[in-house]
Order: sequence, then structure tokens, then C-alpha cells
Amino acid sequence: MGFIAGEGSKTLMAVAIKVEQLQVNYGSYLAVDNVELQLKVGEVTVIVGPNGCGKSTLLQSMARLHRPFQGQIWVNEQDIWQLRPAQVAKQLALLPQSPEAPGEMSVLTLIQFGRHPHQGLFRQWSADDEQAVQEAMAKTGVSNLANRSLQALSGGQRQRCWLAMVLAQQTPVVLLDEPTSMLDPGHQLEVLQLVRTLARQGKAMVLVLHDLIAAARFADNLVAMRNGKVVASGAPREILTSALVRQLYDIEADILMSPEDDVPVVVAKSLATKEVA
Amino acid sequence: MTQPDNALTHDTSNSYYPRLKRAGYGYFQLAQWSVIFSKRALYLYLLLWLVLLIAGVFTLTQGSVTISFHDFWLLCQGQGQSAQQLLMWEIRWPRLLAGVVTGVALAAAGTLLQQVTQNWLSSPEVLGVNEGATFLLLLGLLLSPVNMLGPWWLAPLGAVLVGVILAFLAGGIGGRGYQILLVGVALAYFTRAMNDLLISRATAQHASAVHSWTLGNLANSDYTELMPASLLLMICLVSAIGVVWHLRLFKLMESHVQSLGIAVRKVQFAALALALVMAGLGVGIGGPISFVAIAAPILVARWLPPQVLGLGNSCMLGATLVIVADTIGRVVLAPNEIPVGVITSLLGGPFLLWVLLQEKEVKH
Repeated sequence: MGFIAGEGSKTLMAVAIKVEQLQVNYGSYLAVDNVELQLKVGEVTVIVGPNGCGKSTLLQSMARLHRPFQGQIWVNEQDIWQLRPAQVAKQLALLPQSPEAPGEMSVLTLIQFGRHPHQGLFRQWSADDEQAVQEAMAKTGVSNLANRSLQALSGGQRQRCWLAMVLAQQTPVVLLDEPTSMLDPGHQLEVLQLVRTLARQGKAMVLVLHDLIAAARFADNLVAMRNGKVVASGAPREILTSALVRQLYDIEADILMSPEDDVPVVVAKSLATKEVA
Repeated sequence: MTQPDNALTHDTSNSYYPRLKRAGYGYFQLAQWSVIFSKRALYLYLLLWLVLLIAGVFTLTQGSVTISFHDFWLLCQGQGQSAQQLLMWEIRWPRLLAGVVTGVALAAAGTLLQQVTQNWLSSPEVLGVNEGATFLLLLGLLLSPVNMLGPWWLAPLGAVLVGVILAFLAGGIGGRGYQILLVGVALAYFTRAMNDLLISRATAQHASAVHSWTLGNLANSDYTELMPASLLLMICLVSAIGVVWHLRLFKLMESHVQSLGIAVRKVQFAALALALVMAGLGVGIGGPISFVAIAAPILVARWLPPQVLGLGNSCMLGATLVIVADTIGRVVLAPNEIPVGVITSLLGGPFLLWVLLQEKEVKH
């Protein structure tokens, strides 16, 4: 945790999102079951877990997309259900899993959409908007793509454009649902490094990832979920064990420590043998 | 030339939109108010105004009696023969206005419905909205044998009624309005059958007149219904501008739209309500003219960048389509008339097909 303390900003470690006793259900199915979480400014939080464990639902609940059955979500000490959607959108930005837009749309137009919560019918473009869009494009390295159409981009470029759109929203909290799932290892690293940089610059970054190796490397705070419940949470090197991996995914895995920087690496070996009752 | 967008200072008033400008946007600012728009959309809009103007002059001067351009000029100044004055101001002018109102209303309704459902196929005629509007008018006919049809404002009521039934049967608007589309297609058949039932109950000479009305008819319009209808249309269109500001983002996924601070259901509801009222209004004035509502937005979209919804443009095109079709219908077999809806489908169908096929070739 030493690298965070070294940043020196006073806002560091402030709680950006607090989730209290959250229950979210679809009909009779309990997707998120009594979850408690605190997500801090300056940190990368990664949520992992098997398919259908409720991690996307948790992310979407934090973005005010599902009304919880029970419990509260506080963003910067405000209950999100006491806020209007437009107010929430100034606090929280969400990039859904595999987002869609018309292929003919230009990159600049897409990124500009991220400014919607800050704009109005009679205030469609301001100096703040221009600055936010420029900064977002510079940070994600898509400035030179501004006038290209989305269909003319590679998967990696397109993903960076989506990230730029989310950044243009200029929210203290950014939620990303599997932002690397369609990318090759190089572009995955690019996105994850950007995520870490953004966190260090004072945002609270929350990701859903399937890749445990990437999760262990880039998470300051790892949240492991199964069946809607948080099974474990904390620093990856403290909580990531063979037992946890078995509990989450029903697989046998070795946890190695990478030789240079002592980050846990999960090596999956086989499906766990189920005990026959 | 300097490149001001390379500078990272944005405090000077006009230095912050060169990037937008290069991307084809125009920008207008007055005090704290600012508007951005697609230049291509603006040019198309102006062009369509010009075309409508020409079509308007044509429809005012041509017909069973031709008015020369010299006489037309005199009539515009309030002079000319009284017979021509009567023809122009009491017969052709209200007919032109009715065409514009109907075309604008139907095209606007089509645009909003297509955007709510994100589906080019959804239009007031496909969803049975036009049929619902027609149903109440026909019911008016049946209940009061004096009138040909019920008063025009029954049509928006009928359209809204269909909308309520639709929403009830579909159990809400649903993701991307998909349920509404499915239920609507089914409901349209039912409403159409009800209309045919009503028509078959009418007396023989009534029935044929009513049937030709259901293909669109602008002939019997007068100012007493055009004035309130235009006013209602104006109100709807101004409200629609506010809805479009949010609706333009619906090309993204629903969860994404929501996360941008948009109350998705509220916007969908507002757009749907406006579409219903406008479709009904169009039917009330000009009859259920087919094809305009579905085709105008599709045609316009071919020329516009994808983020532009094109409400204004499709309204202009809708009006032009109706006017041109009506004029052709009046002129070709004069003094007999071909119903305007027949012409719109007859000419519009192949034209739309041509545009769509052309699009395909470009892509291949």
C-alpha cells in the first residue's frame, strides 16, 4: 500500500462509494445479497467472480440502474436514490459491457456524448465541455482519431474511445464493466495502466474483470463475489489463495508470486473434484 | 493559419470550438446560451424548405384551372380576379396548409416512434395508431349521420387510446420499445378490421367516399379545423425538441443512456405521447396517408450524420411528399382526383427501395 501513501494528496483514501446491506433482486431471484462495500478515492477496485455471481448487477446498482430491494448506496455521502439521474451522472460514470454505437458515428461525436449530464438544451457546448473532451482524448491517446468513424477503428482503438467518452463525463467515480474482455494482452495492459493512472490522479475506479492475473496485478482492492455475496475483499496478495479460487470458480489453482514484484499469479490447473454426498 | 485548438487555454470566448468545426458542426452562442448543430443537417433543412416552397407555388397554380405566374403574383399582392382569388385563398391555400400539417405531423410521429424503438419499421401505420385515429372518426360518422366524419380532434384521441391499449397489452414500453412494436403490429390488424366493419355498416355512397378518405384526402380542409390543429402541432413540435435532446442518445445501449443521467422511461413516454398525438392530428386533418411517416425519416437519415435525429428535416420532407403527391393526384387525371395516399405509396415505395438498394451497393 506504500505507493498510495506516497501520492501526498489530502483527498486520498476518502470514501467515494459506500454500499450498505445491499440487496438487489430480479423477481424472486436474489442477484446481490447483503453486500457491504467501501470504495476509496485513489484506488482501483476490481470485482471478480464466476458468471452470474452478481458483479455486473452490483456495478449497475451503484450506477442507479437497478432500484435495490433493500440497503443504501452512498456516493460522496449522498444517497443515490435521493438524487436525480442527472445529478448521479455527474458523480458516477458507467461503461457497460460491450457498448454499442452506430459504426458511422465519428469518434468526436461519441466522446462528446459523455458531456450530456453537464449540458442542456440551451447550453449545448461550453468551454468546459471542450476542455473535458480534449483532456479525455489526450489521456486515452485518441486525439488524432477525432474525425474517424468508429467502424474504421481497431478493437483497441475503439475501446479507448469508449474510455474517453466515460472520462469526458468528468466524474469522481468511474465504473467499468469488463473493459478489457475484447482486447489482446497489449491493449489490455494499456487500458489497465490508464485505469491505474486515473485512480492515482484522484478518481475511484471500479472494474469488473474475468482475468484473475490482471485483477491481481492492478487491483488495490479485490472484491470476490459468488452467488450475490462478497466472499472476500482486500489487497490481492492478502486474500488471493487457492482456497478462494476454488470457492469462487470450482477450480484447482496454484498461486505463484511473480519473481520481480511479488504479485500473486493464478495458474488454473483443473476443475475441482466435486464431493459426492 | 494558426491552429488555436492546439493551445490548452480555453478562456477566450470563441477559441474552443475549432475541433467541432472541423468535425462538421456549427456553433452558435448568445450570452450563456449555446447551440451546436450539424452543418449538413442545416443545409439539407434549407434545401428542403426551398423544395417545399417550389412545390407550394406549383400546387397553388396548377390544377383543373391553371393560374399563370403573373396572375399568381397579383393574387399574392391581394389583387386579381375574384374567381381566382376564391380558388387560391379558399380552396387551394387551405388544401396546401392541410397537406403541410398532415405531412409534418405524420413525419414527426414516425421519427419519434422510430427513435423510441430504434427500429425503422415502427411507424404510426404499422403500430395501428393511424387505424385507431381513423376508428374514432368513423365512429363519429356512424353516430351522427349528418356529418361525413367526426370532428378532427377525435383522431388524436383515437391515437392516444390505441397507445394506452398498446402500452397496457405490451406491459410497458420495454427495452427499446420492442414489445410495443410486436403488440402494435398485431393490434393494427384488429383495428383495421374494426374500421372495415364500420365502413361496411355505412350506406353505399357513403362507403365509397369513406374508403377514399381512408387513402388520404386534403380536399375538404378549412380554416376552422386547420387553425387549432396547426396550433396543437406547433406545441407538440416545440415539446419534441426538448425530448429529442435526450432521445438523440438512444442509439447507445439502454444502460449506457441511463448512466448519462437520462430518465429513459420518462423520455420514451414523452416521445411516445407526442408521437401519438401528432399522428392522430395528421390523420384528423389529411386522413391516414400511408408511407409518409415511415419513409420521410428513413430518407432523411441517408443524408444526415448518425448522431442527428433529423426531426426538422423529416418534417420538411414529409410536408413536401404530401404536397407533391396531392398535386400529382389532382393534376394527372383532372378533373378526377387520385387519393394522395395512393400516390405517396405508388411513387414513394419504389423511391425508398431505390435509395435502400443504392445504400447496399455502396457498402459492398
